[in-house]
Amino acid sequence: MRTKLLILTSLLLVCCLSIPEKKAYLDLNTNLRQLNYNGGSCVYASLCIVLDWQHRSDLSNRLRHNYSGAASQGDLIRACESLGINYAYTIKGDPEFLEWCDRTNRGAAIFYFNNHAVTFAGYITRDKQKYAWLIDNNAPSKYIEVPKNQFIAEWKKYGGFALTSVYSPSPPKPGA
Amino acid sequence: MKPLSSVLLVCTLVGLIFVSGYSLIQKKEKQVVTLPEDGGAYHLSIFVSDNWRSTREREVVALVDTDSTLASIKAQSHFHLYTQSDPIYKTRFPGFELPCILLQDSSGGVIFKYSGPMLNNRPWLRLRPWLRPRPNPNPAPGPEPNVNVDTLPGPIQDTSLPFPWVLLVITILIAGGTTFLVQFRSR
Repeated sequence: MRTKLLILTSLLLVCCLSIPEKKAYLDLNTNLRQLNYNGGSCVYASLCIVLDWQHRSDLSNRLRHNYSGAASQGDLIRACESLGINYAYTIKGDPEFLEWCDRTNRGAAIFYFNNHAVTFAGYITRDKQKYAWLIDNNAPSKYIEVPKNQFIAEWKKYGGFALTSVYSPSPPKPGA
Repeated sequence: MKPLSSVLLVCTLVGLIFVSGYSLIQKKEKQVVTLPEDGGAYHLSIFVSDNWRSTREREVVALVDTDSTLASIKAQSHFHLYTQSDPIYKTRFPGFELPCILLQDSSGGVIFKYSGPMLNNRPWLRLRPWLRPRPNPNPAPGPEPNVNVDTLPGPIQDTSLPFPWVLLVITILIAGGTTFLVQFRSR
């Protein structure tokens, strides 16, 4: 009897330990994710996704209607200032900034790939390895998964720019 | 003796310029804003119909400020007000009976959900103490006492400033050049 109890307890313990940690990330519904628009406004589109996630579709609409085309980090910052968006950014590839965006589940618009910007959705852990999840506004329906170390190195290589708006992120789906 | 005092004077002046220049740069760079650490905060959401302002639902919305328990929860949480036509409501919380008050923890776990006529009895007052929301160590991004909510947060800057080697080299060059000139003239 005691052995059975011991085995049962061990099994329960193993089951409990193997349950993956609940982790929130930017999981805006796919049909709400802003597509790249006007033939190449990836920087603004990346921030639109973040704003919609933070339930500021009013600001997202204004950004989309007033700004388009290729943009630098300065252009995006100026747009935020002009629209009165509460924002925070790094231009020095500070990984701690992305850690904060992940920790608080806010997401961020980042420069990634050549002459392109995407939305950083957060970090997820799978098979004991951490991955960054990215939403490309050219194909926003799926996440791009990049191992965290590789992602940080490449993000720095692409300029290390990340900007997020500072509003409350959407609540997780009930029981998610 | 005279040249030496001149050198010392020049060096002191150059040193002062260096220190004041460095402190000016530091002052400019240190526009750091404390970002809210609210990753573990609860989410308090209210779901109402589109015309909530002209119905009794506005009383439900007002409850989060007038009811002390809800007001206390709101102060510690991310607060959301969703209307029926809101895309977030339609995609994340479909089928909720309206009006509805939902409190979730940061991972999505439902602490309580009350909707429709249930709200009249203020059922959250009967919550068992161990079910009530615990004070969150990481409160919501409310306006902090010393922060003006009407101003934009400044840009994030690195606090770890690189030492201004260029300024130091210029200082040494000026000091060295001055010393040389003074020595040269005195001879």
